[in-house]
Formats: sequence, C-alpha cells, structure tokens
Amino acid sequence: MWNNLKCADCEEKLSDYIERSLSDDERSIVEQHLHSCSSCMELVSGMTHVMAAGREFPVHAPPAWLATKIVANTPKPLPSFRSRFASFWQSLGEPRTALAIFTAAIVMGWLGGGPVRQAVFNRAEGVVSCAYDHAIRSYYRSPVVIEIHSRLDQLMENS
Amino acid sequence: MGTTDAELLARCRNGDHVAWDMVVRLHHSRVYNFAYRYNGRFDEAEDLTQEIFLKVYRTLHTYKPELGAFETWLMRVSRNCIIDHYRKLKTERRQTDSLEGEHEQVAETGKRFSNPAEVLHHRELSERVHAALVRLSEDLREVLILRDLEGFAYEEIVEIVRVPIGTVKSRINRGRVEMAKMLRKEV
Repeated sequence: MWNNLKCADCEEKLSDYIERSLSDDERSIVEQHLHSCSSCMELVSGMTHVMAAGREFPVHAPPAWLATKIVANTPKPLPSFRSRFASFWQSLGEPRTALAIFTAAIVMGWLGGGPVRQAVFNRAEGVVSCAYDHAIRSYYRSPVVIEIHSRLDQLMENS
Repeated sequence: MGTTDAELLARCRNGDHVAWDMVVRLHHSRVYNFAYRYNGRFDEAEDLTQEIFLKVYRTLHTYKPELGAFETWLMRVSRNCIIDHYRKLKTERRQTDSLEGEHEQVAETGKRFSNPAEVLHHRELSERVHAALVRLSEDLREVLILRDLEGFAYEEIVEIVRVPIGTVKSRINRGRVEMAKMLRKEV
C-alpha cells in the first residue's frame, strides 16, 4: 500500500514525518511522494509553520488581581471540633480572659451574701427553664413531629 | 511537579489557606493562558480561571500523586471546565468575533521583539493562527492547544483528554492539516 502513496494517505503521515517518528522506510516513501506532489509539499510547509507559530504563541500575563480574587473566593474550611476545643482552652489562658474571670470571681465574692447570689442563681434558673420550655414547645409544634404523632395515632387506632 | 508542590497540596488538603494561595500563584498563569487560547477572550479566561481553581479546590482530595503529575491533573480539570463552559456558550454566539479586546496585550508581545515591524508581524501571525485555531472543531482544537501551544507530550495528552493515543495523534495531525489549509486560503 505504501508504494503508490495517495495524497490522503500521505496527509495522515505528515505529523509523524515532521516530528521524525516514522521508520526509515516509511520516511523515504513519504519523501518520494512529497517530491512528486507540490500540494502535499505545500501542506508540510504550512503545518511546520503552524507548529512554529504555536511554539511562539505569546504568553499573556494574567491580571494582577486574579490570583488574589481566586484565593479570596475560595471557601475557608470549617475548623474541626478538636481545633475549636483547643482554641477555647487556649483563649482561657490569654491574659485578658484570665483577668475577666478573676475579676468576676472577685466581684461575686465581694457581693458575697445570700440575697445577691440567690438572685443571680434565680435569674439563671429562670433563663434555663424558659429556654427549655421554648424548646419543648417548638418540638411539639413542628410539622414533622405532628405528622409522626398523627401517623402513630392512626396506627394505634387501626391495630 | 517537585516535592514543594506535593507538600503544598498536602497542606491544602488540611485546610491551609496560605498553601492554597501559593498553589494558585504558581499555576494560575498557565490555566489562564490555556483558557484564553481555547476561547480567545480575556474576560472569559479570567472567569474560567476562577471557576477552574474553585473546582480544583473542591476536588483536591481526588488527586492521587502516584497516578500522575499535578499539572496534568490540573489541565484535565481545566479542560473539562472549559469544555462545559464552551458548550453552554456555543449556541449564544459565533466564534469568529473571538479576538476582541486583545489590544491591551500588545505591550506584552512587545517585550520580546524590539523592532516594531517585527512586533506587528508577530502579532498578525498570532492573530491569524489563533483565529484559525478557534474555528477548528472542539476535538481537534483541544489536542492541538495541548500539543503545539502548551507543549505536552502525547502520553500527557492521553491522560488529560482520556482518549487512546492513536486518536490523539490522529486528531493532532488532522488539526494541523486543517489549520495549514485555512491559513493557506487566507494568503
């Protein structure tokens, strides 16, 4: 098939010919065809030109702000529970936090007596029980829970 | 990819934003140029580069260093992003107007050629080649960009495009033939 190489067959081999990846025999057959075919010869010249133009293609500098914008738009990962826990303990050791805790203890001690302390505890208990009530109410009013309860009731009636 | 890159990527996977910043600055120019060469528009290349790096960040855990270089993986992600983007836009506009807005880049080219006539000639040649390139079919264009403009080896292109090496070689050859014919018609 190689002895009478047609232009279409030659075209298929041209990149290999230009990149010198043909065997010696194949190369000499392609060269024979090229010597006798000005059209294919012109094509080789054009392809070489295209490849050279590709190598010389200008490299454009991206805008200076692009990398910064990419990094800024990248979502930051959420810290793990362990790192948040470590961060909490670390914050306790900071002078400002330690001073605040120390001051609070002093003030509580200074206020001392029963009535004030009792008032603080009462207030705290009130807040906690209020939050608990709110959570319970939210739970029983949520559509999912109502739906589950109604289904359970239906099942019990059916059984 | 050197050891430094491998270390940077390991740090990125652990959520180190400084390492991510360095990875972006090391590779964004190549991705930007790849996107520009594919679409021929600077504004789109900017948007695509951002999109590509976000995708890279989200899928960083899927990169396996033992299966190939980071740059090859990065180019595969880039190529997939660009093709998705290109397919969305394909019906919206013709590609022949794709070299608009390139004028601000003359200064960049000018750095390499001191003679103004040479700058002009080179610029004209680049524009003609690029105009012919964006008229090629998607299959031919992507492998031609990877081979002749980006300088990847055939094996790397196989990794990026995920087609057999015979197909890659055949597409590259057909792309070059079509480009040569297009440029010949213009002369």
